[in-house]
Amino acid sequence: MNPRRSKIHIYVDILKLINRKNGRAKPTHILYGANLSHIRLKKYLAQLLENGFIQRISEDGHTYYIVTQKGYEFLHEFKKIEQFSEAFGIFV
Amino acid sequence: MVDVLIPYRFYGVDSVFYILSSIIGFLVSYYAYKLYGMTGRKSHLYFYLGFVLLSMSLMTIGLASTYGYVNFFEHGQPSGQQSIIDTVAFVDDFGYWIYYIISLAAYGLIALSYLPDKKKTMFTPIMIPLWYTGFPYFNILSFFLLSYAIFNAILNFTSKKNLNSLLVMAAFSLIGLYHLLLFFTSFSKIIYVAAHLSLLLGFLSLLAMLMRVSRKGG
Repeated sequence: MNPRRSKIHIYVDILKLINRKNGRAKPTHILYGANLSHIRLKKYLAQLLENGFIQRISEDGHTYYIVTQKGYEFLHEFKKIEQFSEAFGIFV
Repeated sequence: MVDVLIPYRFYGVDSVFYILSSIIGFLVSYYAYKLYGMTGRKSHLYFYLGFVLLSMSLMTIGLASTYGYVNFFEHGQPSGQQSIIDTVAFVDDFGYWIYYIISLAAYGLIALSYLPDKKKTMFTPIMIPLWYTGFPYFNILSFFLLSYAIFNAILNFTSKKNLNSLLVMAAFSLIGLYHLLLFFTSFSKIIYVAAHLSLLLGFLSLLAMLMRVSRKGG
């Protein structure tokens, strides 16, 4: 098993984590759940926002991140590609 | 070169098998391209290019042999006009040479994609002597290159033990068997048929895996 997660795996972990939290999660929940440093989390959240996979919303003075339709489509596509690559024994 | 014995009733069927295998190969390439698009890793690029080239080579030989068979059925045995015989022979030979060259490159790339990154640089010195061995041994060379992918597919199946990895292991093994059997086609016509059935079954196995992946993705 590869001890270092690839960028794509970190994206997927963050998206899955937000999805598990009823589709919206606070940055602190993502920080602990995705097992990332604060700096790396900021970097990955910025990339996910830029790609349109997540959206930032404010509610009751708190910041939340939600998975967008594009983000769900990415997760769906990733699952297919992961199964494809695992079938060949070449990992994502 | 060894003489290839092809049963008369199988004339043209082998071309159809090549073209069908090529189409399935392009479908695999499409998924491999998406994999490369997600990761940007070099080994995934080699894997994608390997399947693209393999599909192109099968399509080339499929179309070249179809051209040969169509001419054969139109004009009969090569006793007609010399210009027709020359053209058919040229197209057939050209198609086979393209097939040999592109297939070997494809199998090389597929084997390369399975090699650990640190050992990839070893690959070129291994390939050069293989290349100069020449095309009479094309099927043995192909089997040799493919054997590394077969070995990895077996390892993958033994660790995963799921249907998708079994289908890939079966696919690589059957494509390998196709090359191995083709080396012995001078002995019996039935070997030629068995080899091509093995090729088609190999690619159908890949198609079954793709169908399972695309259905279960959600």
